[in-house]
Amino acid sequence: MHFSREEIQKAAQDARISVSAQQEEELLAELKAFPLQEDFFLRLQKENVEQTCYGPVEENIMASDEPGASLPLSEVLQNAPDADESCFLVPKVVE
Amino acid sequence: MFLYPVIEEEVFAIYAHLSARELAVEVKKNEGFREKMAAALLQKCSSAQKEYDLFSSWYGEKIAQKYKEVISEKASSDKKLLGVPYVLDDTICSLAFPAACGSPMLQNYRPPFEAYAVSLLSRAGAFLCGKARVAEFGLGCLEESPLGAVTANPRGKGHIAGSGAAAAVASGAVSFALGVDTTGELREAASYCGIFALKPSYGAISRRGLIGFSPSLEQAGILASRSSDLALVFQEIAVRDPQDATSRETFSFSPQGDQAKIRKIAVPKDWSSVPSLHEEVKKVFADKLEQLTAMGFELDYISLPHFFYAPAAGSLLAAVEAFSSLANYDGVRFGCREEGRHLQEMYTKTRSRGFGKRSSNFIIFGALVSSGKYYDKYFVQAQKLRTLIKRELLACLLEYDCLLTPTVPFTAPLLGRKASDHGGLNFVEASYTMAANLAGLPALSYPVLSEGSLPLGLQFIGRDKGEADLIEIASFLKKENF
Repeated sequence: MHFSREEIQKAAQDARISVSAQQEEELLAELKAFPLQEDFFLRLQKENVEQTCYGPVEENIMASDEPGASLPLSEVLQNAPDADESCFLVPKVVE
Repeated sequence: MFLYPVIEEEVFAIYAHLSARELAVEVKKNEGFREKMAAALLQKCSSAQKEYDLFSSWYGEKIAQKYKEVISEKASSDKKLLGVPYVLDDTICSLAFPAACGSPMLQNYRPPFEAYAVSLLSRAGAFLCGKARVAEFGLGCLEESPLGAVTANPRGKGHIAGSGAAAAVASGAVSFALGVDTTGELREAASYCGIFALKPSYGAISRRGLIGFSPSLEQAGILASRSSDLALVFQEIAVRDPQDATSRETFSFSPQGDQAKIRKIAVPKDWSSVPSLHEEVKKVFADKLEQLTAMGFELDYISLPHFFYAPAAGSLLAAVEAFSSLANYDGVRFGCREEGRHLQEMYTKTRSRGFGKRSSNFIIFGALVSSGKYYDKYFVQAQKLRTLIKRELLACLLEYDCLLTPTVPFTAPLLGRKASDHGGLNFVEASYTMAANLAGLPALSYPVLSEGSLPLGLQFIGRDKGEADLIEIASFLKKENF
């Protein structure tokens, strides 16, 4: 698989992860060593095969559409890095 | 070098020679045994922790007291796993312990609910000793977690165990463990440590309460030293969960002791052409095939043209799912947070510091191959490849009772090696295991132990809902000293 540095940087931005030049280098090398080659993917494109997203899922289980008890607010907020009595606190949204 | 058998005398604690079923009976009928059991548990878990560094969190010195308290509350009832000690992968939620998932991102995270399987085990009387170390978010098992610790192998000092849970079972500290198998991690760790592993059919055990990264591949599974313990635990937890959309109807499961129904076994004819296959594994596997033939099993070498593309297809699909599943670790609702001048900067700083290098690379890989430009070119084709692999396996299992391969192409790697030494995004350790995850089929790793060598595993992939057949053949082979 061949990607440009710009594509790696764009993907990292989409993932909200910053990558150092060294990490970028390592990732490019790992991608280059990826065992499925371009011609293999091209061959698959020509095959009329449906996609599989999940293993054997017999039926989708849906919870009944009824109001139920939620987690208490204190439990919801217990792992928050920053919170007041009722809200998650975050930095301002705009620069 | 310190090779198998290396388990020291202290391992053979009071409960080491008892199966889970026998242990539960003793605990119920004998109060004196409960006292001894609590003391033995403290001694065993402490020495295993000191020796192998397998727990990420546990009761420590309070474990004996805790054991007595929990068991005395339940002793009057008829519970199949009463007092049977076990551990959980740190990626499975329990209310009693944090779930750091081997990541700085979730260090000190305390789940507000527990996994359905853990609730069922608690209802069955099993005693949770603690949480066991995993690679970050359970992604593979070759690399130490970014939290710094790596668990040593009780059957090969200087080598990795693959997971804290496998080391806990192999050292005899606990009777069984519950872990997560996404690309084959559970079976691989079992192979390294010389124990049994069962990855059930997809949806057989509820996934509620698993903190994973690839929902279409991951499945909770069981590690144990005995096949009968796999059966007992599976029976208790393979129950439909009304709150898990991927949980399946509870199906009939009744293994008939050690009488194997499996007679016709398929072997991929290209099994020995895996580039990372070590000579030692190749030789042992070839010997085992001869032994099986001599025992009267019908073995056929069949063509599976797509089977060995599974690690690459699985890696690509898991990366895309990880890009999505791990997107909610942003420093707002839980986990670590790095301060930023504004929200976007906080997200990026938090995620850059919170994820280790391998997870970061994996997530970026997922973002790349699912981007608008590459979605059709790579992601869609990998999904089609998944269809071909699944079809191939289902066709094979119509004609044969199971498919047999080595579990991992090599024995436990040395401590300190990085995943990139083994191919990075390619998951070479999953050369034989990934296909079962892609197809959602059950697979069992059977331990092969021989004096003077590191353990390795044989993998039996069975038919959908065919867990009983797999456990039966494992019991049969064990009885025959295979």
